[in-house]
Amino acid sequence: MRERALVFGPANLVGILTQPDPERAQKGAPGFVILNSGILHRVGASRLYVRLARVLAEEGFTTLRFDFSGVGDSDVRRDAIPVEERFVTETREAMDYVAEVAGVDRFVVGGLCSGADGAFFSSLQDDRIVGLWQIDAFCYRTPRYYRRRYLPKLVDPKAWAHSIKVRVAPDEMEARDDEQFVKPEYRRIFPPKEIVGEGLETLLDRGVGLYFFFTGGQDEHYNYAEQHAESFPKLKLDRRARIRFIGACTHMVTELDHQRVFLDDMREWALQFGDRAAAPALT
Amino acid sequence: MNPFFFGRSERPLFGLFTRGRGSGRVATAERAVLLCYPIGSEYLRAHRAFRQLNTLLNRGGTHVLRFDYSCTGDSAGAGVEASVPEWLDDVDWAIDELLDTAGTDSIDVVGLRWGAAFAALAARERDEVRRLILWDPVVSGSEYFDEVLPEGPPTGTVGIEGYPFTEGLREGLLGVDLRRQLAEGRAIPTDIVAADDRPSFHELSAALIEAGRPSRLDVVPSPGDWSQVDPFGDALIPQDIIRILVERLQDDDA
Repeated sequence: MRERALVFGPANLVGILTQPDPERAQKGAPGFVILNSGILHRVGASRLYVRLARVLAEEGFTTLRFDFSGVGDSDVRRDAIPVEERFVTETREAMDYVAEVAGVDRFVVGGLCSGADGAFFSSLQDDRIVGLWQIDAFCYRTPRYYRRRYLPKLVDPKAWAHSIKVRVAPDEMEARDDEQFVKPEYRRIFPPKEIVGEGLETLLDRGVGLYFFFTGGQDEHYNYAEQHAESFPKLKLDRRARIRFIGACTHMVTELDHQRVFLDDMREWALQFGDRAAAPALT
Repeated sequence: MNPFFFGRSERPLFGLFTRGRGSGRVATAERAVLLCYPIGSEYLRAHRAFRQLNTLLNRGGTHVLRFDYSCTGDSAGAGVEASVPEWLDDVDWAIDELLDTAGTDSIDVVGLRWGAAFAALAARERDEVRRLILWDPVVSGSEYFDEVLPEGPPTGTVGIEGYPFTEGLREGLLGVDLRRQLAEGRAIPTDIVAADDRPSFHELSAALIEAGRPSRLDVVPSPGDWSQVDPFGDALIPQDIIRILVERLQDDDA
């Protein structure tokens, strides 16, 4: 495995290119591009992106993990590209760079949270993308979600007490001096479910391989394994994508055991892309 | 900006070197500062503050190198392979790298939390280090683990906010006590800049003065706790402390 630090593209983005040893490299395999999560720089939450790139290199894949402009070590972008187009534009610049230095013409993109969102939109706009993985992707509540979330609370006196306290003194519960903190600049807005459903359908029709890893860290949106598939019954995601849910997992995947599950899943999932034109549907 | 790998070929370290812009009081940058990150989740949380400190120092004409210890950040090595002796060796490599890249014969070193401890320990043998600034330093391993593992010492590898701490690493960290370890060695001027007023900072300052080191302790009340982790990943940027660090590092008479 070889790692190179680099600055690339018109916006001088900073990244690390991880390449497999030549004897392990899979010919014709796609390159992987990993996208920032919020303001966390390219090493990723819990150093997960570094470890993922190295796991992928062991399996013969080249990976670029980089900082979007204004994030991590990359400078603020000075050209006229609107902020809302930045994710897709810079993801494409990253793919262009990998194509040039590694000679690949297909890509797998992914990330956590806002990185997952950027990967989703990039996948819709760039046909070179043949695989999409997302940690805590856009998701939508179902009737079963509400039953699981609220039914136990209806009979729990503590939940009622908490609800009353929140209504009476919200400031006291949320007080924090924000001047010295930077929260993620990206304000996460879930698009209407229909838009995401259409997008996923487009990707599936294109043969894009999908892997979703959901955590209990966003249990205000997601709380059981089958929720994503049940949100989009027409797409039959339970058969056409790999979906993992760990209720005890935090959004930042802080437990070492959960990190191992994610990396093992990714290693296995990525192997499908070796020497194939497009990822096959999972059964 | 120059991101690169340096150090031993079998375990390269990631570094990012940026040149001073020559707009400060010294026309051509002659000052160079090495920044030593904290470890674990604190590293991630401090990255943006380090970048800001880096930028402000460059504007004042100072060259800056920040780098990741082995087994952390972008540097080679897995988290479970980390050890205190390796990290001290990494600081040594980084000092050499900055001296060489900046083309200078003396540097200042700033370390935050564990980075302060590693910087201070590694600098004991380095004549080229002109001044040390210990920012919210971890004064002793036992004080640190009392904070992050209040339930007591576990066995085997334990994850602390996403990062593995093996028994060997914990043992190495528990062996650190700057009050004792900085009592000997070269009398490098050493400032402590801290966000809260802890007895251990005063004890360290007293130990430094007793050892003949020019030293001062500045407590700059700032909110936030480096070891506190936001579930969605935030950054802590203590503006007042960063401003003081820049002033101190660009004050030739300090």
